[in-house]
Amino acid sequence: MLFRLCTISVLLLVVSICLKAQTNEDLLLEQLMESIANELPEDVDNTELTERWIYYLHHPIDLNATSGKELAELQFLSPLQVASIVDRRKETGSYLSVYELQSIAGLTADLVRLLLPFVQTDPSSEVTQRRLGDYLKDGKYDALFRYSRILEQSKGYTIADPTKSRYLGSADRLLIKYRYQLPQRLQVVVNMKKDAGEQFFTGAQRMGFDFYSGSIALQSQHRWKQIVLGDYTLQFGQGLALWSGLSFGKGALVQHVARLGMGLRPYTSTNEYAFFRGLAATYALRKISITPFVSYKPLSATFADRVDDHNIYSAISKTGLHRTPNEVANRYKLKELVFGANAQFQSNGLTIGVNTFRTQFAGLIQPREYLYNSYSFRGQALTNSSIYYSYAFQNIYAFGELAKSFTGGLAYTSGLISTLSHELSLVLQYRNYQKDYHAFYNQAIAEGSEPVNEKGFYTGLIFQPSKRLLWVAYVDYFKFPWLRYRVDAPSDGQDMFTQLTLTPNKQTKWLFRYRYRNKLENGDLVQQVSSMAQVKRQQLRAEIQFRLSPIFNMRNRAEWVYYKKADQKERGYLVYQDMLYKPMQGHFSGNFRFAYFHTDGYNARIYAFENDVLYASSFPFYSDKGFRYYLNLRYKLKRGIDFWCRYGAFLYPQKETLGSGLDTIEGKHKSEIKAQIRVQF
Amino acid sequence: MLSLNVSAQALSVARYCAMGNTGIALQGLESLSANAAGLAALDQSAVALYYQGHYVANTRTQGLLMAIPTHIGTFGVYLNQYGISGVYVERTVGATYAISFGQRLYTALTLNYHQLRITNYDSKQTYSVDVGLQYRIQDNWWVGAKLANPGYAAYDDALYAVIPVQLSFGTSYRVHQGLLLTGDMERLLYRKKTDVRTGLEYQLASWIYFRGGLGFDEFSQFCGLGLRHRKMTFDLATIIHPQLGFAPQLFLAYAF
Repeated sequence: MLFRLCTISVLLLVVSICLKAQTNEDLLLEQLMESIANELPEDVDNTELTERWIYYLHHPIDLNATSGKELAELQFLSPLQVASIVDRRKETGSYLSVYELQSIAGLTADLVRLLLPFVQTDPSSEVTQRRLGDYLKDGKYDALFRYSRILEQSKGYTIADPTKSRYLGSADRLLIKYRYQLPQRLQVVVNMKKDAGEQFFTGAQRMGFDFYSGSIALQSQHRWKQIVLGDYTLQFGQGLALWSGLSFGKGALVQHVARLGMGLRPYTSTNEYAFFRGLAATYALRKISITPFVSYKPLSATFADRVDDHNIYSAISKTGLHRTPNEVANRYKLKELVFGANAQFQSNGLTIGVNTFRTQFAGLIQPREYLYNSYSFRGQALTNSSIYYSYAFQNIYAFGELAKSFTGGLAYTSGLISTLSHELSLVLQYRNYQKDYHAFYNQAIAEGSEPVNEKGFYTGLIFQPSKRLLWVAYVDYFKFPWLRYRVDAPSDGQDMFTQLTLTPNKQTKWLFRYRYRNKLENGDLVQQVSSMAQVKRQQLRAEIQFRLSPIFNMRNRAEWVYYKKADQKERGYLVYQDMLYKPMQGHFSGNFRFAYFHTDGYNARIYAFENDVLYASSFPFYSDKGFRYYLNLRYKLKRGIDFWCRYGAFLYPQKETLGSGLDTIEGKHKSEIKAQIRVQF
Repeated sequence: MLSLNVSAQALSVARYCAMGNTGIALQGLESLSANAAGLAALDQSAVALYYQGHYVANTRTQGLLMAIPTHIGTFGVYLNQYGISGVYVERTVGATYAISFGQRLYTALTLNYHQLRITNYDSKQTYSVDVGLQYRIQDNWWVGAKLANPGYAAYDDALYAVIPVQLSFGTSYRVHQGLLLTGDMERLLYRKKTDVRTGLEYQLASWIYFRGGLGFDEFSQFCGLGLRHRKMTFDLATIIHPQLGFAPQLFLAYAF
């Protein structure tokens, strides 16, 4: 025990130095977001994740009490890492200090540094007898208002001819969020959103905003763990059948091919598709929990025809955009009813669960009669069932799910993560999603945009020979047994990724990344029968982050892309300089980017994470030849009131018009302003 | 054509094969099928039998390995037969002498006799030489090199059967007692073709090993399992080729 205490005090001393640099909440959130959301599409609302992080920063997770669920919610820990943290209590007793995390195999030094602000071991955090009044004192209101707009007018707003496609509303974007939270008791969420081009208090949106979302969630430590009325998400198993809300694909977090479901949660994000609306609850009886749910909500869908009193729709729209007369006409036309239940057993590292649910539409879904659509879902109702498991035993975490759609095919996946040594972890995953498997809330790991019609084998390695060096790599081989959009033959391909991170000291970080992707696509020659062409895309990135002074951090990146399809080659590069200003005290903080990019075409485009106002993050692509710059500022008006603003622009010196279709802009500039205010009390 | 292409690259026995067909910087009796310099580390006589299935039906490889360590070096013999029994058979017999210079440098010379027999058509024979080298950089880190058939020995122009002329480099790194990482690079000189492969061996318990590997040229994946009981070793492996499917391997050894 004496030895353990000595070790802890030494560790305390060492880590307290790095903690000083870590006190900055925003910097931490940005770091986390960038590490986790590398391949997310443009303009995804990351509220769900950011809010969860902020919540746990203010209510750190008790390492001695957690079952692992809260740790999993942080999203940046793999299931095996979560299991190791929880299991350690069984081996060596309660945590005396959070710094003991450093001795857990499979937790890299970087990860421990990220995790420390979210955890605690303080026994005073235990819930004691409290009165309702005490709880109400902990209640927190949070209101947020965001406005943004592209300053240059695009073609869609200038068309007056009512017979042509055009944007009906203004270019303003509005977002209002309201929260009330009693920790571990009650959460009330209201979101309102208007996208650019959507009408406001007129036309189809005469109720004001285009999208409203809200929920009331009651939480308890007793049998009824959670009851949500309103919008909610369900995440179970490996996402083959029932997964709504945010999910991540393949990326630098190699271990994340194992999904760790959060179960039932109130929906807090503003993405307009992947959620449920209705009533759901989780009832727990010892090791078994049951989550029945029912959801009824309107979807936007492309209307195709009306036959025998049935409306026929060719596709469900997931964008949430209702700007043009056509989009408005399809808005909320298809009613969807989903009902079912999940049952889950959890004990000693073993989780086994079953999902069964039915999805019914008030219309017929009939995708267009293309050959690649031959096995797509057609009909009015679908029943899904799946069984999943995960098991953590010593240094191995095994996981899998088997799902069946009625009628339709099977889909299954199975994999394992193993910490082979303190330095090396191995990740394996096999997946087989049949071409006729259907599920509307399927977000399993896949190469294709939809996890169907795919077989694949993924191998990943994480090697950390010292605290200063981290090497990750994965290789994914995949096959598409049936045709796909723009791929008129069964095809296969590879995705290989490697990344080396060097941290010579606390202030400096080097990162090198290489990714190679190879797929088949239809050739560009117009022929009676399409010929296939190999599409290879290689990406090389070098980045350095360093601290210039205690208040200035710098980040430089250079990235190259090489794209080749048959004889067509495109090259591109991007260089940027970021400067982050973050004083330890004072009201102002901010950051700035200046970038230059030059790509031969759209195929060699380069995606890059951009800092944004809180809760927003963007991953725009840089394509063609030009400059990109943005400035983010945050001003703390007073305690509980924060103000953000952002100006960002693309400048293409050699172009006269930008964009295409309704988004065409005359000129060389495309710039955007954003302002946000948050009030907490 | 593809199958000929694959068969031209001689496969190592199951343990090395499971580790991505790497073994240029590994030691043991199995070295006879990769880089014979690794035989110099042997301290017990050993004998082994192996079987390898191929992607094409009825095509298989079987063989025998034997090595005897002496105070002047290790002597090894192998016998290998590849083909379709009674139709097309390639036989190779080889004798190896491996010696260590100090604790760090191992080297070996192998003489091979090759015989090719195609029923009702022709029969040819020839000789070739292989040289191998291994060097220990640190206690847990080895590098190796092998040059196979530098004399470009060949059967006959009339037969499309190749004795590979190849230059290979490899490395192996033992992370800890139970974990071994390998990487090989192989250049087929007569065909100007390079393959990079990598492998891993993990000892789960004293008697069981898991292995896996990747070959980047044709994107083959490899995996296998090894069991050890006293003086017996039993290895299983398979190659998973993206187009051609599975090629299972068996290996059974006894150390005296």
